[in-house]
Amino acid sequence: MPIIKTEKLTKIYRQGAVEVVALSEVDIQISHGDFAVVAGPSGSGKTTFLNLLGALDKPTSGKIWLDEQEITALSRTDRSSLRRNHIGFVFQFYNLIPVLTAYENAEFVLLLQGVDQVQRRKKVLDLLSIVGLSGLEDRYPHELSGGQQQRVAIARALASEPALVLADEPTANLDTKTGQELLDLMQQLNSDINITFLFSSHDPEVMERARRLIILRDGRVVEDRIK
Amino acid sequence: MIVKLAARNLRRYLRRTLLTLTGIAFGTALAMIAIGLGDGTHDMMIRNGLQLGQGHITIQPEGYLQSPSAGLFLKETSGLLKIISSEPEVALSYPRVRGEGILSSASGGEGISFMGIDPGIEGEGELVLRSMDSGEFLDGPEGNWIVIGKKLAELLSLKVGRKTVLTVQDSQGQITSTLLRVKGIFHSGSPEIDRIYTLIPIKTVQKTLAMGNGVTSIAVYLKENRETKTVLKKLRSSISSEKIAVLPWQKIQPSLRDFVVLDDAFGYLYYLIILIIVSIGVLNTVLMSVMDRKREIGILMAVGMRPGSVLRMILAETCLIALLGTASGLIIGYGFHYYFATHGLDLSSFVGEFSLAGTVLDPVYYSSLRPARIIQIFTVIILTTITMGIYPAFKAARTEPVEAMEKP
Repeated sequence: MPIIKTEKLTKIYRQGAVEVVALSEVDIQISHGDFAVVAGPSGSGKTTFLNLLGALDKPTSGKIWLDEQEITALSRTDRSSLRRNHIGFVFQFYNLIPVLTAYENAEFVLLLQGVDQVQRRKKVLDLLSIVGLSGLEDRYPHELSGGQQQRVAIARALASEPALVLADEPTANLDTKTGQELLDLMQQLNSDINITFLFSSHDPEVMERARRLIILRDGRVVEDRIK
Repeated sequence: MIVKLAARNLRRYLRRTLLTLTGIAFGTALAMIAIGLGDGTHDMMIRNGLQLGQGHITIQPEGYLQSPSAGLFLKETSGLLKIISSEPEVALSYPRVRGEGILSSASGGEGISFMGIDPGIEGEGELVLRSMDSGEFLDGPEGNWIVIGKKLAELLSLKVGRKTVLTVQDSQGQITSTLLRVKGIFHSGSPEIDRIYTLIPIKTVQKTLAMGNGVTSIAVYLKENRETKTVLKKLRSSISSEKIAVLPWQKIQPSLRDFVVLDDAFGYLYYLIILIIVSIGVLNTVLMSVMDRKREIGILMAVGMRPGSVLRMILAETCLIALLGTASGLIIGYGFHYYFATHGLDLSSFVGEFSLAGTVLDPVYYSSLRPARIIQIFTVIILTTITMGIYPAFKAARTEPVEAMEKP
């Protein structure tokens, strides 16, 4: 049973009278435990694809199933709940909440889920330890380096124990060494906890490490191979 | 969590928060000062007006208001005074005889209004006589004395101790005169009052008007003006005679009532202008804050915050600003109010005493704020500020995470 399945997934942006086809009839299945990358040149539809899979955006047509639940017809509030409980996000620009500390950023989703304080504390401290940020819990995002911020973002993405983590160009803003460290971390989480990771990237290092490579061009899947 | 986020957002944008807080605090303080001075001026106008007039409530013969005449008077007052004094809200009550006549001297005659009083119970302190320029105040209910205003004394060339003749129509409709001697000359602050207003011992007036022990009215003074309606209702119920009218000061002094209502309307207009200015400031700040944080709001929603929670977060920010701003404004405003309530706002270098709508206004204005007024200001400004946060909050809740998080 795939964790993600799409059927004729299409997204068309309208800019005045002009229509831009970002994705066109994409049919794909992602299995549980995959460590896959969606690659392609700029404008190929990678980010759009991840946004649709993460219920951040709605397709123009086509359908998406997450663990057999069709998510394309969900309301805004239901999509919020879905993101909160089933999907973790790691963004290119970290996207941490600037007024919250590293601890509070990682804790945020658990607060939204209503997890009690004792459990929250244990979990957040464990996660920050896993991502190598023990001792930096009280730092605000602007007091952390780019790599450290991305680690906080990974901790936040994992806090809700999601079935799927979507990472949109997670290494694009990091130096090579930090990028590699983060990929090591995500690979380890994938093998240890069997979290499904789906990246969008054109970083050769990410493509090299992925077990599955999906290449998009002009909104269409032009290559899909398991390495 | 929502309140925590809201508080931190406010702290993070400290300069903007402080500017908004200052705006709300300034508006609140300004409203308190304006309302305090406005209410204080009203109190002064009503107090002075009622001292010149007939108290908060006037008990007089039915029909006297429409057609004042010495033929209409209350023959028996002890029973009425007993009923009046049984009301706990009543401070004082005075039987009075009022009327109009002509006061003559060797220099001529002037139409005047006289009031027969019993100085034993009604001292000069309760009447609006700013000071006795010369002579003394009345010292008893009897005696052929008259206290006149400064202007009248000038017009009739009267001085203390001089004789003057009062000509009136008595209760039988006969024209009658009585010889009086000037006991004192007062100064009220109003040339109009100083020209027309005179005081005579009550028994002398009763004798002149041939009304026995009758009085034309009983002036009832209450501890608080706002009790007028309540006491009026109770007295009307207790004095259930068709021949006796129980009237509030608003009926007796309609010009004063109209002025107070008009001035109140202008006060509310001023209050509204302050509210509009504060509202625009708050709306602008909160809206700008939401637009500036579009990306952050997008992130919150991307990781699973519901639109409703975003809405509550923005409203919580507005509530916090409103509470802090209004509380600061109340403290500042109360400081000004306290100063003006104790020292007054002295405008004597701009304006002297003057009369308006049948009352006298001092050049020193005192602030008066009842707790209900403070609660009203607090509530109105808080609610207005929060209302101003609703549109930005809905705008924030409608944020689409994908659009909001577009590459910076």
